[in-house]
Amino acid sequence: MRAKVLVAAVVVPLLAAFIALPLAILAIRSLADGPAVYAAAAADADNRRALVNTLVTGGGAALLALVAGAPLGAALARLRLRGARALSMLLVLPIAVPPYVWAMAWIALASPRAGWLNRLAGAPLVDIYGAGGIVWVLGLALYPLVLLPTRAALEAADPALEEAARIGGAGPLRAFATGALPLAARAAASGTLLAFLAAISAFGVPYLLGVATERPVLVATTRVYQALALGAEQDVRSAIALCVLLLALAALATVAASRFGRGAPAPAGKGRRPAPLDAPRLTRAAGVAAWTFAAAGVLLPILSIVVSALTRRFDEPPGPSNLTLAQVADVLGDAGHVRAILHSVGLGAAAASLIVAIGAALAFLRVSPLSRLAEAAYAIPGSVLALAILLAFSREVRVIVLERVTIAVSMMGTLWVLLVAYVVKYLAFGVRAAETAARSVDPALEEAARISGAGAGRAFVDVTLPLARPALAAAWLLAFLPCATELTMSVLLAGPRTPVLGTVLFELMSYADPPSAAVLACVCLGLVVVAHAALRWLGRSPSGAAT
Amino acid sequence: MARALAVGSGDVSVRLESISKSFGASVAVHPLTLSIDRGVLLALLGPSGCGKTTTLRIIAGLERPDGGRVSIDGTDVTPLPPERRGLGMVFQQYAVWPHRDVAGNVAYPLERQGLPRAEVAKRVEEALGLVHLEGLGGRRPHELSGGQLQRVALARALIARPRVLLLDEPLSNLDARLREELRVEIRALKRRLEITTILVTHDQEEALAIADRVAVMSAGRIEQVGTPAEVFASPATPFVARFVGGGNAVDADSDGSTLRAGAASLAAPPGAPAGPVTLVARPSDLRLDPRGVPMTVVDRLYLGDRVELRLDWEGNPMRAVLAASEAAAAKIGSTLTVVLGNLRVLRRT
Repeated sequence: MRAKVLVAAVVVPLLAAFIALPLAILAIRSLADGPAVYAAAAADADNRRALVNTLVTGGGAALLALVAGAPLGAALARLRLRGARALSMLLVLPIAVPPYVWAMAWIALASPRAGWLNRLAGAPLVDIYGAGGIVWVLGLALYPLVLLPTRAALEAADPALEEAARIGGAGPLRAFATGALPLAARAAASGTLLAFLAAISAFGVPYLLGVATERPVLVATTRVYQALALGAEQDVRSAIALCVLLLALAALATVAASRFGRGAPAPAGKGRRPAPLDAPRLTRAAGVAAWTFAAAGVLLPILSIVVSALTRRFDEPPGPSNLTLAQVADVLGDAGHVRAILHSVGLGAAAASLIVAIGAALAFLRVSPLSRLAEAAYAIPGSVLALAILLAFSREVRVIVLERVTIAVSMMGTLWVLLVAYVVKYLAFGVRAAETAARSVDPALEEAARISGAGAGRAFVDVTLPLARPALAAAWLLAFLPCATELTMSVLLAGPRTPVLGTVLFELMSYADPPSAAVLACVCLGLVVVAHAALRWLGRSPSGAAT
Repeated sequence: MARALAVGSGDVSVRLESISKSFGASVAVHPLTLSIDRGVLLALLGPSGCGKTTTLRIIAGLERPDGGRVSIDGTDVTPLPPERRGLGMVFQQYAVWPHRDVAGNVAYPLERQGLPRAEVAKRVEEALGLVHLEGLGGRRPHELSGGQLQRVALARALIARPRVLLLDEPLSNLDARLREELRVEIRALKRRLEITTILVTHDQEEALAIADRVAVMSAGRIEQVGTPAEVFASPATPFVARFVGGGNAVDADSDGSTLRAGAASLAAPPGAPAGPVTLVARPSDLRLDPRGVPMTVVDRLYLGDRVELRLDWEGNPMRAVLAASEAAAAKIGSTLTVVLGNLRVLRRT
């Protein structure tokens, strides 16, 4: 009991100060001037266009994610595809890489004049800029959100449902359609809504493809960024109003996604997995299609980034003679860039550690509303969260101790504010992992420790934590990646003295130095590869076989 | 009776005073009072959901009672958390920690007491010897069989020399042969260590075989407490009659001389109460006898040296277990005359 009180005394004020308070201030500021703020914001044609564009690009990207993700998920789950292991690793990769890296890759491939594809064709065939490009890149970055739940639902489906259809006289495909597809449909719908949520929250992709062009296509997040960059009081107000609308849309999508997600099928009773479908011609066709997709949608953009980072002269055709390590040496030799990378890796590690620690603390407390609050922050679009934190902590906080010592704390422009933003945004990773892991530990194991003389805290540390360690380590890696490559919140919160990987990359891309940006994008890709190799290693380690 | 007096020194080890517990709207334990003498092995016996596990967990401190007091060796432990009650407990699913080796599991209670390492190591070996696991201290739990895991759990429960040993269905995950082996060992351990033991089980055979005293529970209440022989031979309530030994229990009306159960009727034994009653008779106490009442054979189940007959007594289903030779004439559909031997007439409330 004492341990719980102690832990709660640390965690509850943290959650209150860094999640509840900023959101409350955002809400209060948006209502401070009455509904007039919304009327004024809505009267602005740019704002209206930005909201429409948000819905159109978000909806388009979600649709593309569904069209690509659902069939790929079904094929991976139920067809014996050639090279299935490599294929599934490649197809899941896009979600691990920050979306703006894909935007950079597609700019290198398909910008009207300089894109590799257009230069190879000798004519401007494709133009990645504009709403179409935003949909294309976001769809290709987010389809794993549909693929993964679809595949999981089909793999978890009770094979007896299909076997019953076979006994009833249906062929294998008809049986699959009757027995398994309806279950997967809910999972795919839930994933599509999550893709929509991610698409309307995205900042890097719509900025790179929609702002720096002749005919700008603004969405809500980029419009908020512009308004805050302009910095006038009226612009800030309209940014707040836009953020509240975006938040409402995000909340709607989240609630709908969890509705659909709840109908997910329970794992099959006997732990049996459905057998691969016996459909040779379909399997062959699906294999060709999936590998083509992986090659064009995943490998080609990665290749274009790597080649961009290594290209000597962009006005000459690519080839071995046109490759150089000079750019890599330049970019990585630059003290400012190195500092940004160190900032990002350090912040990522610190944020991931805090995320896992707070997740474990919440799992120990078992107070459901606290855990849900911590989890809900993930659904808040990064721009909205950053604005809320900006509003809450832009002023100096003065703490007066014993009426004598005044401690003035200003977080703005420090790494602390970035740390807070990262931890809040990705806290859900730690909360979910710790909660799931703690729940999978038989309560009798902790009770046995209690009877043996351990208090509640001691029993949690001695029994549950060691058993949850593989899951927590995986959560650490999964939280580290997006924090170390974060862009959306960082561009709003990072100060001139606290550059991070994302903001430097963003500046290089905006100031027309794509080759240097490509080098940093390769650093991002390197982090992803290392983290995922570590994840695979964790999944294999025997200590994961506990419980 | 003599046996019950022989074990137990007479002073009370565990005392429950009107403890009660509800989970939401459902009452798990009605106010319940029970004393367990030092050195006695008491079995809490009942079907699943009868409150026996909740009672055990209240004693352990793993559940907080809604009301009442738990005292151990004369001290009130009700407000104490489980770690400060000085107990040992064995769980149904072993609850052996998979991330510690056998010695690490068994040593844990002593580590928590902060004993020096050499002392811990010595006592771990002793405890492993007690449960016949000498030399297996370095094994990982996943290398052990179910029976060995339960021995590890037993060693862990005993190593700190607890005042009371709690066993929550400790044998129900084991196969029949191991179960019988461990029964004998638990009895031997209890005798050797003279430790008060409370065993929760739904298996009446297990309870009767191991326990010094049996408390039969149903729907959150204790129906009867007694020696195994008392509970088996003289059930105090229709529930005990049905649950222990699968006895026949037929609701009837008594006027003091005649018992009527629907269309069936029977002369009352001397001293039978009047009013609503339940007639209780063990299947093994039913005999074929021309002085008995007519019953029709519905089915016969072959049990090897004996035969179980499913009978219909004017609409009341009955069971009889007879020697195979005696039951030779009992064909399905035939009518027999049966005497209810050792018939008990219990007042129905």
